[in-house]
Amino acid sequence: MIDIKSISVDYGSTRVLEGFDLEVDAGELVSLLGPSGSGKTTALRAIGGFLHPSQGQLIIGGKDVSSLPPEKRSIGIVFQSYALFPHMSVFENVEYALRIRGVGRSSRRKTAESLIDLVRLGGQGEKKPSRLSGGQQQRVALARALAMEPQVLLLDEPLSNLDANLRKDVGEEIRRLQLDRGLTALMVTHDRQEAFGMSDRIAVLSGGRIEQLGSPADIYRNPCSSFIAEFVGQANLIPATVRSVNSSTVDIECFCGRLPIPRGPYDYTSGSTVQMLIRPEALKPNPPDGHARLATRVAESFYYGSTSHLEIEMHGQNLQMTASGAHRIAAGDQLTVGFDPEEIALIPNCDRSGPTHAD
Amino acid sequence: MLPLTIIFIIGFLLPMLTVLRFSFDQFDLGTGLQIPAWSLDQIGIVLSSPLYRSLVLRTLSMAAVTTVIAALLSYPLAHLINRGPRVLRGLLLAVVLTPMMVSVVVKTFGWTVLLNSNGLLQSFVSDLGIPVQLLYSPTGVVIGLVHTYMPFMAMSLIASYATADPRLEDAARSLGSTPLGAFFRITLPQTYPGLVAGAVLTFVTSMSALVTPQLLGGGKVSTIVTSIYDQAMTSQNWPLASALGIVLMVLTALILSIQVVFRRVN
Repeated sequence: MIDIKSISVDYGSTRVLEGFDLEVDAGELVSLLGPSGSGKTTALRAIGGFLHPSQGQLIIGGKDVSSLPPEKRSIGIVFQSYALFPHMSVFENVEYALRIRGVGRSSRRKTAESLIDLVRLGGQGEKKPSRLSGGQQQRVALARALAMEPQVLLLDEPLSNLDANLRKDVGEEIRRLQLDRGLTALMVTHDRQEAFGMSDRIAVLSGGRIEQLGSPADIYRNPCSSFIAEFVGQANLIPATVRSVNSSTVDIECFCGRLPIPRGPYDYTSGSTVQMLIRPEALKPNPPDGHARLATRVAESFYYGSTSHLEIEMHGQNLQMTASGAHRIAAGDQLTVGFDPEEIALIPNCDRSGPTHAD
Repeated sequence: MLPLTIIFIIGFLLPMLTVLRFSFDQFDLGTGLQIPAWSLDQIGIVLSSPLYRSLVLRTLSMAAVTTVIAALLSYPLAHLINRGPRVLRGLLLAVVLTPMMVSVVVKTFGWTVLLNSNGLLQSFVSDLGIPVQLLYSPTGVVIGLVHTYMPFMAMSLIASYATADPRLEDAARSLGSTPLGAFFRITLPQTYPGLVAGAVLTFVTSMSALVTPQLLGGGKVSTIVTSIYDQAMTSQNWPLASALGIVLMVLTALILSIQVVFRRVN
């Protein structure tokens, strides 16, 4: 549905987006995830038509829209600040696109009312946006964008202005709506939880280019760089040396001995140095047989109810560990932890500009 | 507290109360003497004579035209200053605000040079074949009024334009509006409070201007204020001048109340 072909954007002599390539299928929600300054907002503005790429092509629904102004692109946008029209009621905001298009009054009213009901704001249509809560304003912005029946929906940090405890609910609601209506959507966010919970695929951006593109699970389990490993979650990165490469596993040697690790999607050469990624939740206290075993000392312990966060120490190295809250572990305890090598990934020791993909 | 209040009352209200009192006096045209009285003769003259009625109309229409032109010029200016390239901002602000720093007499003589029959602008207009006389005509007076009083409109609109979020224009564009459509439907309504405030100030000040209509009108374009001046200074007819002054004050109060009403509605 959306086909972005090597779009580059320059501000003066600074290249803020470099050869941006991305295809989004119909009915799919893809997130652009990255820290501030990674180029994600630039990408969104370029797709929306608010700035002109120095090169590249944008095809939406099979039509080249690269040279079209924003109003001709049929892209609905939910802005980060919502950008609701303050002098219009909720109803007038939602029907705006239809009024511009010259749709008749009664048909406009019907569409706008059904959308206001859809976002659960029935009965609030006559209010001015300033009288609504942040979450309600966000839903008005969504209804307003949907009214134009856009081919593509762009979501700019849709949850960032909401209270922390509202984010998950609103995020899931948007995702449900997107799936129900089969909307094609592109979301920009710096929040990994938001990206993971709502997306079919995630493109992680860094320094104006896509560093990795994949399903949330791919990116969490097999990040292609230590930057991504740490950006998308807590990570223990441990240097290791490749001893041999087999059909489905890679034998590595690290401080905990020699281990067979699943090969994952990347290529390795024996003798090279790689990083081993152990997520905090992969470390388990009192491991069963067959797991790698490590004797550690608990340096710090934080209890969060369902989980505990531990900082454990071994061979002078500190590791992050998430344990079930059911375990009672205190700072200073001796603890044997282990992990299933199947849950461990290797990160190719590539420089950030060119990770080597096996596919 | 009390002495200060008394000073304010005397300082601000006494001159106006004096005018109010004078407007009830009578004037003997034969002897040129002011006769203290409580009569409505002077107000009656102003309200009933066709001469003064057309004077009031001319004053109001010149102020209105000045206000409309000032608004039409101020919108593009406010847009450029708020949305245009950074380098333009300081320059444009300086250009608009200079008239406020320069004496109205100086500015008006500048216009006299440009507008007279040999002047640059008059020659240009005549060369285009437009049969209009600029100096000593309402056109010239309006040009001078716009130059002098537009800063009120401009400042007011620049400030209210600045509060209009440019992202709302982006939103309108994404929903199908052209740039011009987005301006008229989204940005313009948000500047209405500034427009009303600027219009009231521009209207009231240009309606009360003396120097500009006197110098650029050359005695051929009389307004309420030039008549007050003539009656008081030339004819020494203070009662009639005072009656005209009362009419001007009532008009001013009416215009100012527009803004109060507008603020209540919003």
